[in-house]
Amino acid sequence: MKKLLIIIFTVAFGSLKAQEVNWRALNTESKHLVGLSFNADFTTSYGVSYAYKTKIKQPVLVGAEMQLPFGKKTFDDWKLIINAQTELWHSDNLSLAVKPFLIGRRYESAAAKLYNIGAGGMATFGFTRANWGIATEIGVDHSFASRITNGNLKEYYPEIQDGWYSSTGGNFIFNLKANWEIKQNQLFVKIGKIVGNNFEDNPTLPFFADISINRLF
Amino acid sequence: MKNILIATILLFALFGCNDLKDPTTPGLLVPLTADENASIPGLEINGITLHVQTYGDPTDPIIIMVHGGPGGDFRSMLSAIAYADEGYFVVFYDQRGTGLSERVSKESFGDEPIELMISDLNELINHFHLNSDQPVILIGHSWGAMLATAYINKYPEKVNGLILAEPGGLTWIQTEEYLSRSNEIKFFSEALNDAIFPEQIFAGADDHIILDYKASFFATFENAPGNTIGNEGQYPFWRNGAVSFTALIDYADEKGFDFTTDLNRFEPKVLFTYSELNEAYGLSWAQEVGAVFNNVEYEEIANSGHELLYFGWNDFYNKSLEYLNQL
Repeated sequence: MKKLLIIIFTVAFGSLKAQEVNWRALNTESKHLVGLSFNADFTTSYGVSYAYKTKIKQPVLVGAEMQLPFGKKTFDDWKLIINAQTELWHSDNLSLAVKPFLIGRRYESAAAKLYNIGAGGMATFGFTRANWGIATEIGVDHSFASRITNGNLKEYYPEIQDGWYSSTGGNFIFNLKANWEIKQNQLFVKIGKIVGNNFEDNPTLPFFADISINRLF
Repeated sequence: MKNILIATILLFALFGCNDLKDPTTPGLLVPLTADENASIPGLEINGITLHVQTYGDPTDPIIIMVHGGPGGDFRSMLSAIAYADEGYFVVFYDQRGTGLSERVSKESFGDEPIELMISDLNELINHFHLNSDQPVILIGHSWGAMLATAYINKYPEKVNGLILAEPGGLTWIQTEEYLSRSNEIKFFSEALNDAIFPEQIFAGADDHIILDYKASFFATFENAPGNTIGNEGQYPFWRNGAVSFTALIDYADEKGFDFTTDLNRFEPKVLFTYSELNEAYGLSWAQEVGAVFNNVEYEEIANSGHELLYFGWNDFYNKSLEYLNQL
């Protein structure tokens, strides 16, 4: 029953890197993309995002997204993602886009406080029109280093070492994405699965989901 | 904004830092185990080193303390050293792959991990049991109460007394039902963040040290403020055995278990304790779980939640001594 509830919840409310873009809907005048997202991946959270459209040889969106888990303490845990995304190739309505990103995370509980730095990327391939689209995505999110300051774990194990630690792993991301235009806004829904990069280590929530709404202006 | 600033500063500090610690180095994030540190008392059982501590006269009646989890350790049960002053030989042990016992691979648990846990307990009893006149009493908490029951289900003739402290259930069906109440997920709670947010940072690492460290975050969930099981806070532990936990839970989820098949062969009275503050337990659940015993006495432990050998020790101790004196 608990598993069923988790699945229903994740499908219904939905996770990851929610700053989405429909490349066919980008018009030449629009420079700014703002978004709001609700996510369930490693925990349940909400996020806001902003991206600026620039053009080198082709449109590139450079942006940032902040995700904050629900809960009583607003800023004790968060993720800050800085990304750039561009469409590498398209033919008619088929499209291949990439989004490399840097990610910073903060976590705090009675057990410990963590600052984590990582990086990754997402690749999106799908069928995209101006008012709707569907795509598959694969991605990687790798942790480079973490600053660990132990809390009550230090009470239980006084010899525990605080400090900067090297990589503690990473994740692969697989998902489907669909989008629709609703009154000049783009609604994106993503459903997928995250697995540890050993393909064995699964998060407690078995699936992730993300609902985001973006607006260009 | 302040947090973002700190993170930015730390990011730049990192670029200047080439002295990152390796999280898999033994002893940095979780304690060394008995096979790694000769000062930790250990005992070779079934081919591995278990962390074992004993108190009292080895010729006295034996009390074996069986800790919870799976994956927990006996640190929160150490008040039970007091039984030694009452004329008992008290044996604590960290189960296979947990606490300060040796780390073992998931594969080493084999196809029947619960049978292996029962075998470890049997070997431990055989090691300390001097003769047939020396009584053996098991005191088990939570998963440990389930394991102690599984033991007497197989070896009823080897145990003279049994004290249970809130076994989730004695079958997998019962246990799932209890867990659905006790570990109910509150999706928008701080407790959920505290427990599972670190999963994205400690991910895909095969090293047991990282898995055990990550498990210490997950362990906070059931003791968070407002928890269902009535614990007033966190309690001390040495190491959460993530691999042991996974091996046993995966087995139970796939194959289930039933520790009640031969309990009618166990004649001594059982003391079945439950805590006053655990909203997921109570007398009715205790009676449902305990109905399989021939002779059982139920006792509520006042002012305590599920971790009743820690938060409710005084009441538990008095009631357990009354029971022990009747044997």
